[in-house]
Amino acid sequence: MDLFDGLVLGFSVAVSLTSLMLCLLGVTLGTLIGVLPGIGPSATIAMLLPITLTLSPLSSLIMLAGIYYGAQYGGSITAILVNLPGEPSSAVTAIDGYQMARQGRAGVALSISAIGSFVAGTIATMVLAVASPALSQIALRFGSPEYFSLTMLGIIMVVVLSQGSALKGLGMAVIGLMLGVVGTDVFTAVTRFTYGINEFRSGIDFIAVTIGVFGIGEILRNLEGNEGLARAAHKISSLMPTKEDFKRSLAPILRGTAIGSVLGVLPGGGAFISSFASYAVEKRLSKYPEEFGKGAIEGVAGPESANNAGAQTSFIPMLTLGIPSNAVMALMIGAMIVQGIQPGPRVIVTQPELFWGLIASMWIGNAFLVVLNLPLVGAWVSLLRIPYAILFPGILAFCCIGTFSANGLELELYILAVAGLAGYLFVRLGCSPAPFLLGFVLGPMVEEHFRRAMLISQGDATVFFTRPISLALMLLAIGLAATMFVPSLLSLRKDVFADAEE
Amino acid sequence: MGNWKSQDAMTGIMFLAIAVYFGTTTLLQLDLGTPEEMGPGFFPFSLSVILAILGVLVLLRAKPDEEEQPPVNWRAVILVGSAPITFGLTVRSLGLAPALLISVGLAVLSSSKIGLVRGSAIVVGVTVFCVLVFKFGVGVPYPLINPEFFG
Repeated sequence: MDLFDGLVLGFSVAVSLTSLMLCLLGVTLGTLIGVLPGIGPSATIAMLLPITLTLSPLSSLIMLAGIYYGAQYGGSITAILVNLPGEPSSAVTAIDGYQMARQGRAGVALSISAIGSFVAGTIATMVLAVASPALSQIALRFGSPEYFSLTMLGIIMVVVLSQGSALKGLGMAVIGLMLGVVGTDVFTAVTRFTYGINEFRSGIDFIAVTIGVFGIGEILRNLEGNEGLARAAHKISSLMPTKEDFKRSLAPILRGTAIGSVLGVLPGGGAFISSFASYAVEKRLSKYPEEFGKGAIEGVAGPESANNAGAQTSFIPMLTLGIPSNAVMALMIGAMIVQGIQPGPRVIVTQPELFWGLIASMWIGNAFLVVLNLPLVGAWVSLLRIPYAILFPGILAFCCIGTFSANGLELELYILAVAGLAGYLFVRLGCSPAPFLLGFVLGPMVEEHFRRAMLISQGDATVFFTRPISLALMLLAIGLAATMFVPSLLSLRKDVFADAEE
Repeated sequence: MGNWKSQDAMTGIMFLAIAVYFGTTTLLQLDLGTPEEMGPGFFPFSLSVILAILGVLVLLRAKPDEEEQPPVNWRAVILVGSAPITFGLTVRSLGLAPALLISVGLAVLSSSKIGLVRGSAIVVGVTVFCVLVFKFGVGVPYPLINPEFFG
């Protein structure tokens, strides 16, 4: 199926009333949680997963995807008006966006970030449509050694690119892989770590663990601080950017789109890393570097375009290889599995409506978001007055009832409680939960391909290094892992994160 | 290394504890097999070894914390942590609505900033909202109130 046929098919399913409504619902929810600090897309998608079980696979993916890229739009509103990142990926937007707001140019910053996001979303969606079928063709030739090497690369990249110590990140990924071991061994039918509990034979439930780690863990984290602080939002004057603003924003928007499109594809990439890479680039290339930090429009246009582009293209490895590139994509994989779809290179061929429908819905969703964000920005701002004291009991109730309604097992509520406490412990110890989730989702796949490859090669571990594609993936993984221990690169990585946190 | 209570040191200890537990359980219960034909224990045991090495490395390179974290809100940890368990214990025996009322109540109690009137309003509001969304929106097949218990 070529691109044109694909898009026609995609739009034909994406403009159905159900699809449009769910797309709108998804992006609205995404904007909502994007605006509100303290609740992110991972937790929201995890909480809503059980609800989407009642929908068709396409409808559920349309809605869940909308939450992710919708949050990229919403996060910028809070960043610009309140100087708080509504989402981590909007952290750099707060630097110059808030300064613009202080100069009475909040409306301009919001417009440019919405326009930039829309341009980036449109281009990145096209990248997704063109690149995915090609990549899936290559992936169809993958055997077990390639898959194992690919999962290794994915895990290493997530560790390198996520915040905090790389050693801790690796450890978290290993703990995730361990949790994935629980259940019946597919090769020998021996049960492992089931403690005599029947339900554990098919593995520990993905939904309960993720809702716990992200949803409940986040609540506990927020309850330790001063969540009651009043947030003063700046007033919005004119939304209309001047000609000069447009002229200065055009190149950053396009560069940000390019940076985000590339970084989004990489495992470990996505919205967050794209935004601060773009900020660093714009600061270096700008004709007005002295304005950065004092309200440079490039510092808003670039990162906001980049984070949306990155959010879109991070779907590429998920849809073509079945490998999640970040925590949200790991949840998407989980959503597909609970819907009975085996993620991997065959999805595009066997489920063309799903693939093209999702792509078309992303473009429609981006258009919805511009409308939702610009004229209605005042409504979103008033949401910031909702105190966390009202939000978190609701979030907790959603976590409980959502987990229970997925399979109707009380046991999963107990897993939820344990996972929530574990998630909070991880955060307290400065361990990022993203590699943990990735390891957990990939665990069964990693083991299966590892053992199958070793079985075929009769115990010869060099099999991962003698086949060309596998060798390339492994070298890439090893090279990346090595960068973690090179002092100069280490400090660069620290600088970049420090830049983003300032 | 220095401070045993630093984030890094505690992480190293956590990694080692998990690795030792997982590794010994694997050795005691599962067959390792050979690299040609791996048994069910081979992969979990390898993971334990890797995690143990990582645990030691984290401990060796442990640095004191850069900034102090806010204190743990133990009241919240206990109350929020017990809410899903309470929900699990009551959702079938009492029904959906009472289970929600109780677990949301526990959540509200965990914040000292919420007063009695406002707290009760939140409990009722959240319960009504969840019942509307899940019972009448999603249509979960669990009774709102268990007639056997209240009948």
